[in-house]
Amino acid sequence: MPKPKILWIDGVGSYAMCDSDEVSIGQAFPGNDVDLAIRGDLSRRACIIGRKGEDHLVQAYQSMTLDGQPLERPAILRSGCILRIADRIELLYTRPTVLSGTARLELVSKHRWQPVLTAAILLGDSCIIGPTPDAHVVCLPPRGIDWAGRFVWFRQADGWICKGISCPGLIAGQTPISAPFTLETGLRVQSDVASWTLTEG
Amino acid sequence: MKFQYGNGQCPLEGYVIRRGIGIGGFGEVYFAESDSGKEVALKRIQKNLDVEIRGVRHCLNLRHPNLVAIYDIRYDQEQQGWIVMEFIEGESLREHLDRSTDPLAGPIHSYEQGKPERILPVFAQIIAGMTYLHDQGIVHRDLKPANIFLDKGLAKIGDYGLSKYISTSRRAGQTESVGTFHYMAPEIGKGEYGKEIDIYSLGIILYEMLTGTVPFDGQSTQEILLKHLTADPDLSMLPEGLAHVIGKSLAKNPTNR
Repeated sequence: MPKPKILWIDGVGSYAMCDSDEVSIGQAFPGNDVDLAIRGDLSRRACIIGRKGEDHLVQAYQSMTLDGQPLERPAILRSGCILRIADRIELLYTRPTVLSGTARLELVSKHRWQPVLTAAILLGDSCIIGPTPDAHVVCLPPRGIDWAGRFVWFRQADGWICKGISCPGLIAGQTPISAPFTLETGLRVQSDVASWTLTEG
Repeated sequence: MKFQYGNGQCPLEGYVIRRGIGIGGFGEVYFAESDSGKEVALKRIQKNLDVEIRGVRHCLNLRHPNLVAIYDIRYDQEQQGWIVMEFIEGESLREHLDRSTDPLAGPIHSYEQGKPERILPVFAQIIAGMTYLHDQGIVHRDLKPANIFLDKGLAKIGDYGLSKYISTSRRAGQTESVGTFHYMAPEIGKGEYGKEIDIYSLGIILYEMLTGTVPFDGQSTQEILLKHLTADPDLSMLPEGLAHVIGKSLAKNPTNR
Protein backbone atom coordinates (compact mmCIF):
# COMPACT_ATOMS: atom_id res chain seq x y z
CA MET A 1 0.00 0.00 0.00
CA PRO A 2 1.54 3.38 -0.97
CA LYS A 3 2.26 5.80 1.85
CA PRO A 4 0.10 8.93 2.09
CA LYS A 5 1.40 11.76 -0.02
CA ILE A 6 2.54 14.92 1.75
CA LEU A 7 1.10 18.33 0.92
CA TRP A 8 3.57 21.11 1.75
CA ILE A 9 1.88 24.50 1.85
CA ASP A 10 4.15 27.50 2.13
CA GLY A 11 3.40 29.62 5.17
CA VAL A 12 0.77 27.17 6.40
CA GLY A 13 1.98 23.64 7.16
CA SER A 14 2.36 20.08 5.95
CA TYR A 15 -0.39 17.48 5.65
CA ALA A 16 -0.49 13.73 5.05
CA MET A 17 -3.11 13.21 2.35
CA CYS A 18 -4.46 9.72 3.10
CA ASP A 19 -6.11 8.38 -0.02
CA SER A 20 -6.70 4.72 0.85
CA ASP A 21 -9.70 3.10 2.49
CA GLU A 22 -7.67 2.11 5.54
CA VAL A 23 -5.10 4.15 7.41
CA SER A 24 -2.86 2.55 10.01
CA ILE A 25 -1.45 4.54 12.94
CA GLY A 26 1.54 3.48 15.01
CA GLN A 27 4.83 4.39 16.57
CA ALA A 28 7.47 6.22 14.56
CA PHE A 29 10.65 4.22 14.31
CA PRO A 30 12.80 3.16 11.39
CA GLY A 31 11.28 0.32 9.47
CA ASN A 32 7.77 0.57 10.89
CA ASP A 33 5.56 0.62 7.83
CA VAL A 34 2.45 2.39 9.14
CA ASP A 35 0.64 5.08 7.19
CA LEU A 36 0.73 7.63 10.00
CA ALA A 37 3.59 7.49 12.47
CA ILE A 38 3.61 9.27 15.82
CA ARG A 39 6.69 10.01 17.87
CA GLY A 40 5.45 8.62 21.15
CA ASP A 41 5.08 5.62 23.41
CA LEU A 42 2.48 3.62 21.50
CA SER A 43 2.36 0.26 19.74
CA ARG A 44 3.98 -0.17 16.37
CA ARG A 45 0.46 -0.64 15.05
CA ALA A 46 -1.93 1.03 17.49
CA CYS A 47 -5.10 1.32 15.43
CA ILE A 48 -6.65 1.46 12.00
CA ILE A 49 -9.10 4.05 10.75
CA GLY A 50 -11.16 2.72 7.88
CA ARG A 51 -13.77 4.21 5.62
CA LYS A 52 -17.30 2.85 5.87
CA GLY A 53 -19.54 4.64 3.40
CA GLU A 54 -19.41 8.29 4.37
CA ASP A 55 -18.15 7.50 7.87
CA HIS A 56 -14.85 6.53 9.42
CA LEU A 57 -14.53 3.54 11.68
CA VAL A 58 -11.71 3.10 14.21
CA GLN A 59 -10.40 -0.28 15.24
CA ALA A 60 -7.99 -0.39 18.17
CA TYR A 61 -5.03 -2.78 18.50
CA GLN A 62 -3.97 -1.43 21.87
CA SER A 63 -5.76 0.24 24.75
CA MET A 64 -7.65 3.27 23.51
CA THR A 65 -10.55 5.48 24.45
CA LEU A 66 -13.02 7.37 22.31
CA ASP A 67 -14.31 10.48 24.08
CA GLY A 68 -13.27 8.90 27.36
CA GLN A 69 -14.98 5.57 26.77
CA PRO A 70 -12.84 2.43 26.39
CA LEU A 71 -12.77 1.28 22.80
CA GLU A 72 -13.50 -2.43 22.87
CA ARG A 73 -14.93 -2.85 19.40
CA PRO A 74 -14.81 -0.87 16.15
CA ALA A 75 -16.62 2.45 16.48
CA ILE A 76 -17.81 5.20 14.18
CA LEU A 77 -15.96 8.52 14.60
CA ARG A 78 -18.03 11.68 15.07
CA SER A 79 -16.74 15.12 14.22
CA GLY A 80 -15.07 16.64 17.28
CA CYS A 81 -14.35 13.32 18.98
CA ILE A 82 -11.08 12.65 20.79
CA LEU A 83 -9.19 9.39 20.37
CA ARG A 84 -6.80 8.67 23.22
CA ILE A 85 -4.12 6.03 22.61
CA ALA A 86 -2.30 4.35 25.49
CA ASP A 87 -3.67 6.93 27.93
CA ARG A 88 -1.38 9.67 26.63
CA ILE A 89 -1.63 10.37 22.91
CA GLU A 90 -4.68 12.38 21.88
CA LEU A 91 -6.05 12.80 18.39
CA LEU A 92 -8.88 15.11 17.37
CA TYR A 93 -11.10 13.93 14.51
CA THR A 94 -12.96 16.65 12.60
CA ARG A 95 -15.31 16.70 9.64
CA PRO A 96 -15.24 20.39 8.69
CA THR A 97 -18.21 20.20 6.32
CA VAL A 98 -21.09 17.78 5.92
CA LEU A 99 -20.79 18.22 2.16
CA SER A 100 -17.68 16.08 2.05
CA GLY A 101 -16.66 12.77 3.58
CA THR A 102 -13.13 14.05 4.05
CA ALA A 103 -11.93 14.33 7.65
CA ARG A 104 -8.99 15.86 9.49
CA LEU A 105 -6.95 14.16 12.20
CA GLU A 106 -4.84 16.37 14.49
CA LEU A 107 -2.55 15.57 17.38
CA VAL A 108 -3.70 17.56 20.39
CA SER A 109 -1.34 16.06 22.97
CA LYS A 110 2.32 17.07 23.09
CA HIS A 111 3.35 14.54 20.51
CA ARG A 112 4.49 14.92 16.93
CA TRP A 113 3.96 13.16 13.68
CA GLN A 114 6.89 11.68 11.79
CA PRO A 115 7.52 13.37 9.41
CA VAL A 116 6.43 16.75 10.76
CA LEU A 117 2.77 17.24 9.96
CA THR A 118 0.20 19.83 10.84
CA ALA A 119 -2.54 17.23 10.40
CA ALA A 120 -3.51 14.13 8.48
CA ILE A 121 -6.34 14.42 5.97
CA LEU A 122 -8.49 11.33 5.47
CA LEU A 123 -9.61 11.95 1.92
CA GLY A 124 -13.14 11.28 0.77
CA ASP A 125 -14.27 12.40 -2.67
CA SER A 126 -13.23 16.03 -2.32
CA CYS A 127 -10.95 18.22 -0.27
CA ILE A 128 -11.04 21.97 0.31
CA ILE A 129 -7.88 23.96 0.94
CA GLY A 130 -8.58 27.55 1.94
CA PRO A 131 -8.91 30.17 4.67
CA THR A 132 -12.41 29.37 5.93
CA PRO A 133 -13.42 27.02 8.77
CA ASP A 134 -15.20 24.65 6.39
CA ALA A 135 -11.89 23.87 4.68
CA HIS A 136 -10.20 20.56 5.43
CA VAL A 137 -6.86 22.29 5.26
CA VAL A 138 -7.43 25.65 6.94
CA CYS A 139 -4.99 28.25 5.68
CA LEU A 140 -5.16 31.05 8.19
CA PRO A 141 -3.05 34.04 7.25
CA PRO A 142 0.14 33.35 9.16
CA ARG A 143 3.47 35.07 9.23
CA GLY A 144 2.95 37.53 6.45
CA ILE A 145 1.03 35.41 3.99
CA ASP A 146 -2.46 36.62 3.13
CA TRP A 147 -4.49 33.78 1.76
CA ALA A 148 -7.41 34.38 -0.54
CA GLY A 149 -9.44 32.02 -2.65
CA ARG A 150 -9.41 28.28 -2.26
CA PHE A 151 -8.35 25.10 -3.95
CA VAL A 152 -10.81 22.25 -4.31
CA TRP A 153 -9.64 18.74 -5.06
CA PHE A 154 -12.01 16.22 -6.67
CA ARG A 155 -11.44 12.51 -6.85
CA GLN A 156 -11.27 11.05 -10.34
CA ALA A 157 -11.24 7.39 -11.28
CA ASP A 158 -7.48 7.09 -11.04
CA GLY A 159 -6.35 10.24 -9.28
CA TRP A 160 -7.30 13.76 -8.36
CA ILE A 161 -8.06 16.97 -10.17
CA CYS A 162 -7.67 20.41 -8.64
CA LYS A 163 -9.63 23.56 -9.27
CA GLY A 164 -8.48 26.97 -8.09
CA ILE A 165 -11.33 29.28 -7.09
CA SER A 166 -10.55 32.99 -6.88
CA CYS A 167 -6.85 32.24 -7.22
CA PRO A 168 -5.43 34.91 -9.54
CA GLY A 169 -2.09 34.19 -11.13
CA LEU A 170 -2.50 30.43 -10.85
CA ILE A 171 0.43 28.45 -12.22
CA ALA A 172 0.99 24.68 -12.15
CA GLY A 173 4.65 23.98 -12.73
CA GLN A 174 5.52 26.59 -15.35
CA THR A 175 2.09 26.66 -16.97
CA PRO A 176 -0.58 29.31 -16.30
CA ILE A 177 -3.81 27.52 -15.41
CA SER A 178 -7.44 28.58 -15.74
CA ALA A 179 -9.18 25.17 -15.91
CA PRO A 180 -9.08 22.24 -13.47
CA PHE A 181 -5.84 20.32 -13.72
CA THR A 182 -4.62 16.86 -12.78
CA LEU A 183 -2.68 16.65 -9.52
CA GLU A 184 0.78 15.19 -9.85
CA THR A 185 3.40 14.69 -7.21
CA GLY A 186 6.28 17.13 -7.46
CA LEU A 187 4.14 19.73 -9.25
CA ARG A 188 4.51 23.15 -7.65
CA VAL A 189 1.23 25.07 -7.66
CA GLN A 190 1.30 28.81 -7.12
CA SER A 191 -1.12 31.70 -7.18
CA ASP A 192 -0.46 35.32 -6.38
CA VAL A 193 -0.65 34.55 -2.65
CA ALA A 194 -0.49 30.78 -2.20
CA SER A 195 1.99 28.07 -3.11
CA TRP A 196 2.12 24.36 -2.41
CA THR A 197 3.62 21.09 -3.57
CA LEU A 198 2.37 17.53 -3.26
CA THR A 199 5.14 14.98 -2.78
CA GLU A 200 5.42 11.26 -2.26
CA GLY A 201 5.34 10.31 1.41
CA MET B 1 4.10 37.44 -1.38
CA LYS B 2 6.06 34.52 -2.77
CA PHE B 3 8.89 32.35 -1.55
CA GLN B 4 11.89 32.10 -3.80
CA TYR B 5 12.45 28.41 -3.14
CA GLY B 6 10.01 25.53 -3.22
CA ASN B 7 9.84 21.95 -2.02
CA GLY B 8 12.79 19.83 -3.03
CA GLN B 9 15.20 22.64 -3.82
CA CYS B 10 18.66 22.72 -2.21
CA PRO B 11 19.96 26.28 -2.27
CA LEU B 12 22.19 25.51 0.71
CA GLU B 13 24.37 22.42 0.49
CA GLY B 14 23.31 19.70 2.89
CA TYR B 15 19.69 20.84 3.27
CA VAL B 16 16.50 20.20 1.30
CA ILE B 17 13.75 22.82 1.45
CA ARG B 18 10.38 21.38 2.38
CA ARG B 19 8.24 24.49 2.57
CA GLY B 20 8.29 28.19 3.31
CA ILE B 21 7.47 29.17 6.88
CA GLY B 22 7.28 32.94 6.66
CA ILE B 23 8.63 36.13 5.20
CA GLY B 24 9.83 38.86 7.51
CA GLY B 25 11.74 42.09 7.31
CA PHE B 26 15.07 40.29 7.09
CA GLY B 27 14.21 37.61 4.58
CA GLU B 28 12.52 34.29 4.02
CA VAL B 29 12.37 31.45 6.53
CA TYR B 30 12.01 27.85 5.37
CA PHE B 31 11.41 24.48 6.95
CA ALA B 32 14.14 22.16 5.71
CA GLU B 33 15.74 18.80 6.42
CA SER B 34 19.41 18.07 6.52
CA ASP B 35 20.83 15.16 4.54
CA SER B 36 20.69 13.09 7.72
CA GLY B 37 17.07 14.03 8.48
CA LYS B 38 17.51 16.81 11.03
CA GLU B 39 14.57 19.23 10.91
CA VAL B 40 15.67 22.84 10.86
CA ALA B 41 14.50 26.31 9.99
CA LEU B 42 16.64 28.12 7.44
CA LYS B 43 16.56 31.88 7.43
CA ARG B 44 17.83 33.42 4.23
CA ILE B 45 19.29 36.81 5.02
CA GLN B 46 18.38 39.19 2.26
CA LYS B 47 19.02 42.53 3.88
CA ASN B 48 21.84 43.97 5.94
CA LEU B 49 23.80 40.75 5.83
CA ASP B 50 26.79 41.94 7.80
CA VAL B 51 24.75 43.54 10.57
CA GLU B 52 22.58 40.50 11.03
CA ILE B 53 25.40 37.97 10.82
CA ARG B 54 27.31 39.90 13.45
CA GLY B 55 24.36 39.85 15.83
CA VAL B 56 23.60 36.19 15.26
CA ARG B 57 27.24 35.14 15.61
CA HIS B 58 27.23 36.76 19.03
CA CYS B 59 24.36 34.46 20.05
CA LEU B 60 25.50 31.31 18.24
CA ASN B 61 26.45 29.34 21.34
CA LEU B 62 23.71 30.39 23.72
CA ARG B 63 21.71 27.47 25.09
CA HIS B 64 18.40 27.71 26.88
CA PRO B 65 15.16 25.74 26.51
CA ASN B 66 13.21 28.98 26.15
CA LEU B 67 15.33 30.37 23.32
CA VAL B 68 15.04 29.30 19.71
CA ALA B 69 18.39 27.57 19.21
CA ILE B 70 20.75 28.88 16.54
CA TYR B 71 22.75 26.00 15.08
CA ASP B 72 24.97 27.61 12.49
CA ILE B 73 25.60 30.35 9.96
CA ARG B 74 26.23 29.12 6.44
CA TYR B 75 26.76 30.61 3.00
CA ASP B 76 25.49 29.32 -0.32
CA GLN B 77 27.38 29.37 -3.61
CA GLU B 78 26.32 32.94 -4.21
CA GLN B 79 27.66 33.95 -0.78
CA GLN B 80 24.13 34.49 0.41
CA GLY B 81 24.00 34.09 4.19
CA TRP B 82 21.69 31.56 5.86
CA ILE B 83 21.02 31.04 9.55
CA VAL B 84 20.36 27.42 10.50
CA MET B 85 17.96 27.41 13.44
CA GLU B 86 15.76 25.15 15.52
CA PHE B 87 12.49 24.43 13.73
CA ILE B 88 9.48 25.45 15.80
CA GLU B 89 6.38 23.54 14.85
CA GLY B 90 3.93 25.76 16.66
CA GLU B 91 2.72 29.26 16.11
CA SER B 92 3.95 32.63 17.32
CA LEU B 93 2.37 34.25 20.34
CA ARG B 94 1.15 36.94 17.92
CA GLU B 95 -0.72 34.36 15.86
CA HIS B 96 -2.00 32.74 19.01
CA LEU B 97 -3.32 35.98 20.47
CA ASP B 98 -4.93 36.92 17.17
CA ARG B 99 -6.58 33.54 16.88
CA SER B 100 -7.80 33.62 20.46
CA THR B 101 -10.18 36.40 19.52
CA ASP B 102 -10.76 35.11 16.02
CA PRO B 103 -13.86 33.08 15.19
CA LEU B 104 -11.69 31.03 12.84
CA ALA B 105 -9.55 29.91 15.75
CA GLY B 106 -9.08 26.19 15.93
CA PRO B 107 -10.02 24.15 18.97
CA ILE B 108 -6.47 23.64 20.15
CA HIS B 109 -5.11 26.17 22.60
CA SER B 110 -2.30 25.70 25.06
CA TYR B 111 -3.92 28.30 27.27
CA GLU B 112 -6.82 30.69 27.10
CA GLN B 113 -6.63 34.41 26.93
CA GLY B 114 -7.57 36.10 30.16
CA LYS B 115 -6.95 33.22 32.54
CA PRO B 116 -3.90 34.00 34.68
CA GLU B 117 -3.52 30.44 35.92
CA ARG B 118 -3.02 29.33 32.31
CA ILE B 119 -1.10 32.37 31.11
CA LEU B 120 1.44 32.73 33.89
CA PRO B 121 3.22 29.37 33.36
CA VAL B 122 3.73 30.34 29.72
CA PHE B 123 4.84 33.83 30.66
CA ALA B 124 7.25 32.39 33.24
CA GLN B 125 9.01 30.56 30.42
CA ILE B 126 9.36 33.79 28.47
CA ILE B 127 10.83 35.40 31.58
CA ALA B 128 13.26 32.50 31.97
CA GLY B 129 14.52 32.89 28.43
CA MET B 130 14.82 36.65 28.77
CA THR B 131 16.60 36.39 32.12
CA TYR B 132 19.14 34.07 30.53
CA LEU B 133 19.75 36.56 27.71
CA HIS B 134 20.22 39.37 30.21
CA ASP B 135 22.58 37.21 32.26
CA GLN B 136 24.64 36.78 29.09
CA GLY B 137 24.75 40.53 28.66
CA ILE B 138 22.38 40.56 25.72
CA VAL B 139 19.42 42.89 25.38
CA HIS B 140 16.81 41.63 22.94
CA ARG B 141 15.56 45.11 21.96
CA ASP B 142 12.72 43.83 19.82
CA LEU B 143 10.68 41.65 22.11
CA LYS B 144 7.10 41.29 20.88
CA PRO B 145 4.57 38.47 20.49
CA ALA B 146 5.68 37.88 16.90
CA ASN B 147 9.14 36.95 18.22
CA ILE B 148 7.86 34.48 20.81
CA PHE B 149 6.92 30.98 19.71
CA LEU B 150 4.72 28.35 21.34
CA ASP B 151 5.79 24.81 20.62
CA LYS B 152 3.86 22.00 22.28
CA GLY B 153 3.77 23.68 25.69
CA LEU B 154 7.18 25.33 25.41
CA ALA B 155 7.56 29.08 24.93
CA LYS B 156 10.67 30.13 23.03
CA ILE B 157 12.07 33.55 22.26
CA GLY B 158 13.39 34.04 18.75
CA ASP B 159 15.20 36.67 16.69
CA TYR B 160 17.37 37.63 19.64
CA GLY B 161 20.47 38.08 17.53
CA LEU B 162 18.88 40.56 15.22
CA SER B 163 17.57 43.19 17.45
CA LYS B 164 20.00 46.05 17.27
CA TYR B 165 19.37 46.73 13.64
CA ILE B 166 15.63 46.27 13.98
CA SER B 167 15.36 48.76 16.78
CA THR B 168 17.43 51.40 15.08
CA SER B 169 15.68 50.96 11.78
CA ARG B 170 12.32 51.25 13.40
CA ARG B 171 13.28 54.48 15.06
CA ALA B 172 14.13 55.77 11.64
CA GLY B 173 10.72 54.57 10.45
CA GLN B 174 12.16 52.51 7.63
CA THR B 175 10.70 49.09 7.86
CA GLU B 176 8.29 47.81 10.41
CA SER B 177 4.56 48.25 10.75
CA VAL B 178 2.89 50.47 13.30
CA GLY B 179 1.99 47.41 15.34
CA THR B 180 5.54 46.87 16.48
CA PHE B 181 5.61 50.28 18.18
CA HIS B 182 3.22 48.91 20.76
CA TYR B 183 6.06 47.17 22.61
CA MET B 184 8.70 49.90 22.50
CA ALA B 185 9.90 51.46 25.72
CA PRO B 186 9.79 55.27 25.81
CA GLU B 187 13.54 55.69 26.27
CA ILE B 188 14.29 54.02 22.92
CA GLY B 189 13.48 57.39 21.37
CA LYS B 190 16.47 58.76 23.25
CA GLY B 191 18.74 55.98 22.08
CA GLU B 192 18.85 54.16 25.42
CA TYR B 193 18.99 50.40 25.03
CA GLY B 194 19.40 48.88 28.49
CA LYS B 195 17.74 45.66 29.56
CA GLU B 196 14.93 47.79 31.01
CA ILE B 197 13.52 48.11 27.50
CA ASP B 198 12.97 44.33 27.47
CA ILE B 199 11.29 44.51 30.89
CA TYR B 200 8.98 47.19 29.51
CA SER B 201 8.14 45.01 26.49
CA LEU B 202 7.47 42.06 28.80
CA GLY B 203 5.01 44.22 30.76
CA ILE B 204 3.16 45.11 27.57
CA ILE B 205 3.10 41.49 26.45
CA LEU B 206 1.74 40.22 29.77
CA TYR B 207 -0.88 42.97 29.73
CA GLU B 208 -1.95 41.87 26.25
CA MET B 209 -2.00 38.19 27.17
CA LEU B 210 -4.27 38.95 30.12
CA THR B 211 -6.59 41.50 28.54
CA GLY B 212 -6.40 40.89 24.79
CA THR B 213 -5.38 44.49 24.13
CA VAL B 214 -2.20 46.51 24.42
CA PRO B 215 -2.14 49.28 27.03
CA PHE B 216 -1.08 51.99 24.60
CA ASP B 217 -2.85 52.03 21.26
CA GLY B 218 -3.63 54.69 18.71
CA GLN B 219 -4.43 55.59 15.16
CA SER B 220 -0.89 56.57 14.28
CA THR B 221 2.70 55.86 15.23
CA GLN B 222 2.97 59.29 16.79
CA GLU B 223 -0.09 58.74 18.97
CA ILE B 224 1.24 55.41 20.25
CA LEU B 225 4.68 56.83 20.95
CA LEU B 226 3.16 59.79 22.76
CA LYS B 227 1.17 57.45 24.99
CA HIS B 228 4.30 55.47 25.80
CA LEU B 229 5.89 58.72 26.89
CA THR B 230 3.02 60.29 28.80
CA ALA B 231 -0.03 58.06 29.42
CA ASP B 232 -0.66 55.84 32.41
CA PRO B 233 -1.78 52.30 31.58
CA ASP B 234 -5.29 51.31 32.63
CA LEU B 235 -4.61 48.53 35.14
CA SER B 236 -8.11 48.44 36.59
CA MET B 237 -9.12 45.21 34.86
CA LEU B 238 -6.09 43.26 36.14
CA PRO B 239 -5.80 41.20 39.32
CA GLU B 240 -4.17 43.25 42.09
CA GLY B 241 -0.82 41.48 42.25
CA LEU B 242 -0.40 41.43 38.50
CA ALA B 243 -1.49 45.06 38.21
CA HIS B 244 1.38 45.99 40.53
CA VAL B 245 3.94 43.97 38.56
CA ILE B 246 2.79 45.29 35.19
CA GLY B 247 2.52 48.84 36.48
CA LYS B 248 6.11 48.67 37.71
CA SER B 249 7.42 47.19 34.48
CA LEU B 250 5.73 49.99 32.54
CA ALA B 251 7.27 52.78 34.58
CA LYS B 252 8.32 55.67 32.33
CA ASN B 253 11.64 55.97 34.10
CA PRO B 254 13.66 52.81 33.34
CA THR B 255 15.35 52.89 36.73
CA ASN B 256 11.95 52.38 38.38
CA ARG B 257 11.13 49.14 36.54
